[in-house]
Amino acid sequence: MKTCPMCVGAVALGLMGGAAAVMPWGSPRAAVAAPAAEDAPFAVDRVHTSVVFRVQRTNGAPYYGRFNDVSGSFLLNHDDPGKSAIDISIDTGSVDTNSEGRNRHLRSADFFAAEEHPKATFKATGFTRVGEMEYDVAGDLTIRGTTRSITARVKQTGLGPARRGVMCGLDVSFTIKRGEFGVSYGPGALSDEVRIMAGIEGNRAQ
Amino acid sequence: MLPPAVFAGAALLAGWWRRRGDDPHEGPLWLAPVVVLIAYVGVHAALLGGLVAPRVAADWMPAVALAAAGLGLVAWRWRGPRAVLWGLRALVVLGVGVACTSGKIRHGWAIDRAAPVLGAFTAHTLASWWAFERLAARARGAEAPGVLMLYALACGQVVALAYYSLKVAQMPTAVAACMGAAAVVGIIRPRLSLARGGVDAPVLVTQAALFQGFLYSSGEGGAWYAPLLLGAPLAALLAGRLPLRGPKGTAARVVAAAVVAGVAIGLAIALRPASDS
Repeated sequence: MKTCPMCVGAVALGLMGGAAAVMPWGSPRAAVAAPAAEDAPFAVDRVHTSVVFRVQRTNGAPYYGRFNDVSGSFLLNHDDPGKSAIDISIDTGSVDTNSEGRNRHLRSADFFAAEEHPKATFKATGFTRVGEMEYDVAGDLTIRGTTRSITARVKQTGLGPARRGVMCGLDVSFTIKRGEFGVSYGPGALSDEVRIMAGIEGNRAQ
Repeated sequence: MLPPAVFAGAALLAGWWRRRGDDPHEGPLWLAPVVVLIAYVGVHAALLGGLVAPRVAADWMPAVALAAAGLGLVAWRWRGPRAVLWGLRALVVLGVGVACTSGKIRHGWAIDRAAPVLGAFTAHTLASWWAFERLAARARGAEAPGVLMLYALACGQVVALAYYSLKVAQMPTAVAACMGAAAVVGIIRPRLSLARGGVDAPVLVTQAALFQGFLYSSGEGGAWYAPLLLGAPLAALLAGRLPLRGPKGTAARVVAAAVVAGVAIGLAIALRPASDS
């Protein structure tokens, strides 16, 4: 069988190029492109994100409510935590406690004053690694127009390919004193401490 | 609401205990604005855990009460043209309206959206003010504080049912407690008068709370309750024109004023913005 030296050379070059693309060292072109993709933040997927709060009813049970409308972006950079970022915004009018009357009370000036302060926000200012994929994240939390510095425990719970690009998941939790944010209604009926728990999922293009 | 009622009742009773004479424009008229201011600020501080820098419209209410009490004292000493006094009141009402609307303006309300609402609030407040002032100038004793109490209670109900904010609803309720105590004092000491500035603080604080309920209510429904509430003092004024004389006539007039004001107030509560829950 005769072989075409030109064809063999072309196939060999093609195989080498393809191998280089999947090898750890990659091609020069891939080495430039990869960090740019890794540095791109994940956009919060509101459908697969849950922000839940827990408040203790005096002489009763803990009560859980949630916010249905969450947006923002995040990025955890494990090699260089200084390049990490979390910027989350919650629509306070989307509070949901399975009771429309209570939802409206929570939207009023007694709690979130949602018409006057429609967004509650969290913006990270510092990341301290406390475990594998786990951080204490310092940041500014703004509720009802009042900003306080808080520290949230953030754990990356997943990272991998998604239908369109890459997805990442975070488990976030922290505790605040609602009175510090002017949410002081019902001090005898509801605890001042409120636990916030969030499962935040985000996507980015490959 | 017992503490503000007890405080207001004790202070007004002590102030009006020795009052003699028939002129409703004489006596310790300065006392009512001061009593309402102290009682209101005390209730506000207790409800909201102290006085704070304004973050929401409700946080402005102590300043509203202070301005209203100040206007009451100005009215007590005023000897100049009435038009100037009403101009000053209109400016303060407009300022209160802007403070209450600031949350809306911050989030996109343009001037063409805010101006009609502020104009309606100013007109409604000045009309209520005029009606209550006329009532207080004409009727001593329990009549004016009694109708003011009903009015403030109704506004508190409308705010609670339309806006769902119990804190804001309790603001006019604190005023109602003071006016209820004043009505009791008015029965014991019939010379009690709210003329010359006595209605300023109750009216402005109540109107500001009602306005917040209207602005930030998430319920659907018309604003029929606003003209009906305005109708309450006007109806009470008309009831005062009934040709009833003597001690029994006075009592009948008070009852008539309360009944007609109560009908307007009842309708206003029934026609509040509908709850969707």
